[in-house]
Amino acid sequence: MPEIFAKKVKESDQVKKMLGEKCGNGSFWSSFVVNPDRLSFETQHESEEVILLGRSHPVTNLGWLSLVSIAVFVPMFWGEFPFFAVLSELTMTKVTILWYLALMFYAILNSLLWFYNVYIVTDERLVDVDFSGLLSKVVNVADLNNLEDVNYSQTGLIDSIFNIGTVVVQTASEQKTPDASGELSAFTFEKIPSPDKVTQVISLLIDNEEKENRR
Amino acid sequence: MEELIGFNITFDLVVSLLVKVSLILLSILSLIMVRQTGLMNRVVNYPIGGSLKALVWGFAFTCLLITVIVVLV
Repeated sequence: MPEIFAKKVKESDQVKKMLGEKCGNGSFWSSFVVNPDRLSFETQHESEEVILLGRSHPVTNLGWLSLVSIAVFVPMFWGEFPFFAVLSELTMTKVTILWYLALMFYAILNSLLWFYNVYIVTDERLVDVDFSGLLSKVVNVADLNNLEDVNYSQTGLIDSIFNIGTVVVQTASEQKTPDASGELSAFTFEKIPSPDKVTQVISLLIDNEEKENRR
Repeated sequence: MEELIGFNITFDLVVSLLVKVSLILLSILSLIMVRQTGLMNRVVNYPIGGSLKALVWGFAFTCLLITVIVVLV
């Protein structure tokens, strides 16, 4: 077996071992996908292999899901508002149609933003993809060689209950990207599950890269 | 209500007009979402990206169809 291939297999096995049960079933909807099949990204090199794909914990969707769940029932109580009492039945139907379409739009948009806001750890680089809203995207890419410190923080009740936290990876570069204005680093993975294990995984890959460079 | 150049403006009419304008804006936004989904899938290319695009196209098409019907009614 060629040495480079053996190294990749070993790294992904190590990652799987570290993440344990958190590896999920390989579904793209889970928060961790180790060695995802048939996944590629925009700036991927030909020989580059994706070791880990991750995104925010599903519990982060609870806010907008609750809002949508409540909003679905609002049209049932429109008769209670004097504002709507003066409207004709046809106009009320139009308002109801608009309400449900807007709700669907809001739900689809939030699902897409959650699904595509990911971080990708490859055998060569770290990629952070941030979409905020319909018209803005920020993609940060850094070589594993340029990564310096990896740390994580957990604050609040929800973080403690679901074991979620924010991982911050410091790079050698001090360049500030638009998404990093309120963050410590451009590589900030917010509200991800098991931040301790993700920190371990990134640290391991940085160590492996350093060892390889020394050879 | 108010009569303007022989045209009776009622509260119902104003709300109906606002709903139509909002639906047109929502249709435009849904078309932008279709475009953005394509771009998102180019950045991170998932195998299920095609299904997501189909879902968003379906929503945009439904939105457009309903908008046309509501505007014409």
